[in-house]
Amino acid sequence: MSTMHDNEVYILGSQLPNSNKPPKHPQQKWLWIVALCSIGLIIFGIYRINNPHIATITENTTTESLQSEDSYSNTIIDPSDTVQRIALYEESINDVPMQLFEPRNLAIKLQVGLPDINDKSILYVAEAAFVRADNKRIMDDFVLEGKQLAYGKANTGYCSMINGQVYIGAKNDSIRLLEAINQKGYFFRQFLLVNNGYPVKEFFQKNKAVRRAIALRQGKLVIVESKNKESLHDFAQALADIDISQAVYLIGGTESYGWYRTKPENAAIMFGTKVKQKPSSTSYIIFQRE
Amino acid sequence: MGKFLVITNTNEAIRVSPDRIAYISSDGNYTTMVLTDKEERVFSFNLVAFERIIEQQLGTEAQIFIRLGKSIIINSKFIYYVNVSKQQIILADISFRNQFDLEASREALKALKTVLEESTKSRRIGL
Repeated sequence: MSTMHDNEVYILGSQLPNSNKPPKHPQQKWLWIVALCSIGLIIFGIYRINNPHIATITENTTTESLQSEDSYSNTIIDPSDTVQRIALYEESINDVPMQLFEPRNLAIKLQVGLPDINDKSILYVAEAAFVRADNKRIMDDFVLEGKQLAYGKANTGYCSMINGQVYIGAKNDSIRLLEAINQKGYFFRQFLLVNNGYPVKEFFQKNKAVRRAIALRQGKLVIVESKNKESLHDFAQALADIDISQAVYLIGGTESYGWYRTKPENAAIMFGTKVKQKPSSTSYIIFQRE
Repeated sequence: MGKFLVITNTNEAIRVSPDRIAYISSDGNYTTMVLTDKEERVFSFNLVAFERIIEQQLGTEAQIFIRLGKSIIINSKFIYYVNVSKQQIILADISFRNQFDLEASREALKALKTVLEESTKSRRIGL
């Protein structure tokens, strides 16, 4: 345990007798460790007696966290289908109709600020990370071309895009974040909806809205959008039911603005409402012709 | 030739002269090393671990670095301006164009000011 305080100053590597480095008391440190461990064991013992099922839950959580990621590579191009486009189709399960947008042979990236709708190389645009209401900054870790623009881990799902490889996962460690930084990639965090094929059950938000997610299904990357207003719970369940292995949320609702065109020559089809005073930190996920 | 600092993670090794490091800041379990040309490198270990690496590899040469409060290590060679009441410290040098305007606690800056004042009386602390 570090004994460093915010008001302390010392010179590194200084072994001089009058060093400003705070003195260390190893015996005192061990006493603290033993005391804290004892308190921890007592608290755990009491909790264990009151909650006999706790051991099972912990075991499942550990198992899931070891395999909580899936990936997609846009370098795998079907030789019979080299057209750069968005394949659009509809599916419905449990009374939850959905539109699926599947990028074919397109590059994926993030951008801060609204892209140009007249740019015909862009085939799909949707809002990605949340913006904090208090300071209008991006919520949670966000990396743009290797530059980390925001910090935080409030949401457990993440999506990273590194050298044409897309990773969607639930691990809270920083491997993909560091990879995105070091390899000039992209990274953002969002609500986790589906992990290892299982829907996340508990959501703080209970309201219904048009929902959107970036997801992986049988090695393919898809954006899924609910056609009706759904709760996060029902949307996550529907995603799992159509065989999605991993999914994280993209901003939905009526004020989430974006568009798609199935082919470069086609007109853009907009969704959501274009709000004039969107924070400048609003981020977008983009599928684009290379 | 002075010693170099070699910092490694899973895939990379970074070799840098201590004179190129402006400061190292902490964000929980991550550490960001900022070089004088404003290049930033993020590592997945905390500031205590970084401090240990500096001390192990540089020995007494580590004394150019000063730990300033919980979340920052600065290169003392570049201390240009300290304002205790504004909680401000500026790192600057003629050898690079940028200047680094950092924030620290009032108490830490007061202690640093004392260290700087004492350094004019004794050169033992390596400033």
